[in-house]
Amino acid sequence: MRKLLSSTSAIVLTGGIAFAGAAHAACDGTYGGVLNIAGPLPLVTLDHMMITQEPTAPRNAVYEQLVALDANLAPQPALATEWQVSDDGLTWTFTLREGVQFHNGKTLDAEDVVASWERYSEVGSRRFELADVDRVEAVDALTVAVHLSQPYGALLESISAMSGAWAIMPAEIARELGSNRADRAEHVVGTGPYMVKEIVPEIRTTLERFDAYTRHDGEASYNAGPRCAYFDEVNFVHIADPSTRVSALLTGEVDLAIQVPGDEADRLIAAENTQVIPTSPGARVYFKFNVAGGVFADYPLLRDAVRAGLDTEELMWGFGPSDYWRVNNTPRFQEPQWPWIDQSHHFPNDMELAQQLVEESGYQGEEIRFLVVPGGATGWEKAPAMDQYLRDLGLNVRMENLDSATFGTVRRDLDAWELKGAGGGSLVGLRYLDSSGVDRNGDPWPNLPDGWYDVLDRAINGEDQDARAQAAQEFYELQAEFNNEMWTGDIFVIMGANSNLRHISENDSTASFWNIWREE
Amino acid sequence: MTAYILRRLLGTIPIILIVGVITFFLVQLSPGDPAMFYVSPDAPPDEVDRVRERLGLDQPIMTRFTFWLGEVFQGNLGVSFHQNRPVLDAFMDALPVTLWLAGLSMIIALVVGIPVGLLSALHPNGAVDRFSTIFVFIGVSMPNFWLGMLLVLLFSVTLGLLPAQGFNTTSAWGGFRSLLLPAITLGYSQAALIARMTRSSMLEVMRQDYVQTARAKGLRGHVVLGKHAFGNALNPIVTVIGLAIGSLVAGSAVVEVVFNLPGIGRLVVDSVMRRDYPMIQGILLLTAGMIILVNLLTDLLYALVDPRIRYD
Repeated sequence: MRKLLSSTSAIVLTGGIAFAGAAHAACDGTYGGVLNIAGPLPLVTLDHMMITQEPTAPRNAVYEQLVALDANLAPQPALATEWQVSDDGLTWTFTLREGVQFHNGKTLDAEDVVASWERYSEVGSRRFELADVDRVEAVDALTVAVHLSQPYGALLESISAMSGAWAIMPAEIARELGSNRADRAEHVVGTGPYMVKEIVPEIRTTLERFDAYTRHDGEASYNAGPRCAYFDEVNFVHIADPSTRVSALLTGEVDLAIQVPGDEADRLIAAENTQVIPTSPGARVYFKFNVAGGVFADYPLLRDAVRAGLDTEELMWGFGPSDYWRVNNTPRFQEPQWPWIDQSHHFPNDMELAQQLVEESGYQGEEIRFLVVPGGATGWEKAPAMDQYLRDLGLNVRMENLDSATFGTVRRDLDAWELKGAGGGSLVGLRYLDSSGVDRNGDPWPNLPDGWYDVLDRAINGEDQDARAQAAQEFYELQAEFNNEMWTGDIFVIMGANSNLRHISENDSTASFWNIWREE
Repeated sequence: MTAYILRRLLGTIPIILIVGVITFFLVQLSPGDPAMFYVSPDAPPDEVDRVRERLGLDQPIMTRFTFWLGEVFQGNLGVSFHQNRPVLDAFMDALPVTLWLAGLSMIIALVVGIPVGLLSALHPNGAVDRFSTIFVFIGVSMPNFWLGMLLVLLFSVTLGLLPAQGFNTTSAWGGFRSLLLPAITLGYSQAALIARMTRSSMLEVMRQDYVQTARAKGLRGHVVLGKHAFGNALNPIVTVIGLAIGSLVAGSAVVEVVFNLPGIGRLVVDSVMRRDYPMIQGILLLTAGMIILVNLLTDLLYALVDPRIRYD
């Protein structure tokens, strides 16, 4: 039996480079008051297991998991204080924190973890990541064993997912809910620093401080470490329009606005009572070639041509001032959780070379359907520049701007597009490699080079963490060489905040509001 | 009159039915899969299928239609995919905000539109009329959302007089303050239309012989204007007002999003973005019913303002 503590796995997974993140353990900020947060997404439920496309911060303030990710994306103790894995890699044993109370007054024990797993295995929206889990067993009151059908190296990362998560709830509530969604406040019971006071669907969710909260040890870092509930109440309101969020912040109607557009940030910088916090990781910006069919499959050299002439910096200006994005050839991009990140040599920014490659590719002027969807990294912010660049290159491109619901359907039809603008969370831990060999619909891509799935398998399922990191590096080199997608840069998620708020983490784009306080 | 009202009410049933059928198929056949909002973006196909089954989307469209129609006839508009509660409950929660907004907008439109139109008609081609023309031109050409943003910048951000967003439910005064800017935004374009219609209708009436006769009799100007001219100019104005009410309900979507008001407009926008079929269908059906009723009331109002009109 090998004993794995989170601190060691963090070093292994991230190459041992410390990540910027203010230490915060004493909880000695100012207590009291109400915090009003405005976010772009509506909130109708706090069911942490079933929902993925809703704000994560309120759910993470109410629920906790066995382990939690730190700013290095390394799993750290949360409700589990330590864990061990058997020599055959098939059994993971977790020791639970003692004396932890749920919001309803019940004390956490292993039975709650088992019942939560049983519900998660039925309704969890990311349960497919844990398909190798056979069963979860209560060994004793404070010990839980997770039995796997085959070794799964990314288990800790998967169970610390911050959305669609295996959240721990009281056994009786987990069983009562079954496959029903936890929408009513009395069903939303966790062990987190805040508990639900009121849910008004799509309008406002109010949380209040949980005074009996059991604080974790260590230093606060991203989702891990101690959480201090400074505010008496937290209101999470849905304001869809970004300009309205900014206006509400300027008038003091809200204290914290999530996802401020880059071109609106100047209004907040100019004002005396507000501050701007670019948070990283934000979202990665990339373009995906359809290598299953169409021109980019028929003329592989055309993919290299598109990459060769692309000026990534010019493209990223669509996201606003350069303080709020970065391209992949700047030193700032070298962050430990992305060991493969230096791809600058893959973007020579040479238009002559690009045009020469177009000629050599055999391209005959066939139409290239270029899908984009509004909003964020996937959006039209980058699309016009890309569209113009492709035209300058002499390609017959037709840009199709779709709403997100339509985009989600069309992108799965591999006969419907040749190039798509894409975006995704920059939290690219090793478990996210799961989706790198597939088009997010579970179907393997045809025409992938030899060794693709072998490398992926080693990176995801391997037991040795060093070997996993090495395999990940190999995979990204393979991907860059094959050139099925171009990662052109990264955008920050910009937070706007009242200037008297303290300790808003630059490493957290989800606006986790524990550990934030107001300095009067 | 009662028989007429009953006939009209009965006549609404097939109209609502047709609206329901069109709405159902337009919504259900539009591209985009609602299930995608309830799974992880990288979920495998069987996970998506599981959600589709839970939402009832695995059934053929005609099966879904007959089931939905049967439920509607029993007064059940279904359960929202996103909110996981009856559509009618969500609608009734949002309705008061939209009604208050539309009502206040209508008052602003009438209080501003009719006097501006009257003054303009009394002094055609004068300074007031020119001002009125500019007022109308801006009102019909400026997009709602743009006007809303300008008002927020001036009255909320710069002057700090009114809230920038949200609906204050803690007091009547607070509610009024939070609705004032949205109501001005929504009511301005309607005020412009009413002003224009009032002006042209009044100019038309004031050229009639009976107005000239009234003046020749030596009646005072305000009596001629109020008793003889304005009363007879009201018919087209009432028509515009009836149409305006429909526009206010429909136009509330943009304004409610810009001002973050939890009304029906914002609800329907959110529902469309998420392909929440039951919610979209239910809201459109109920809104259509409301607008049909408003049209009926408008027709009945004709009989009040014009004694020549009888429905017996």
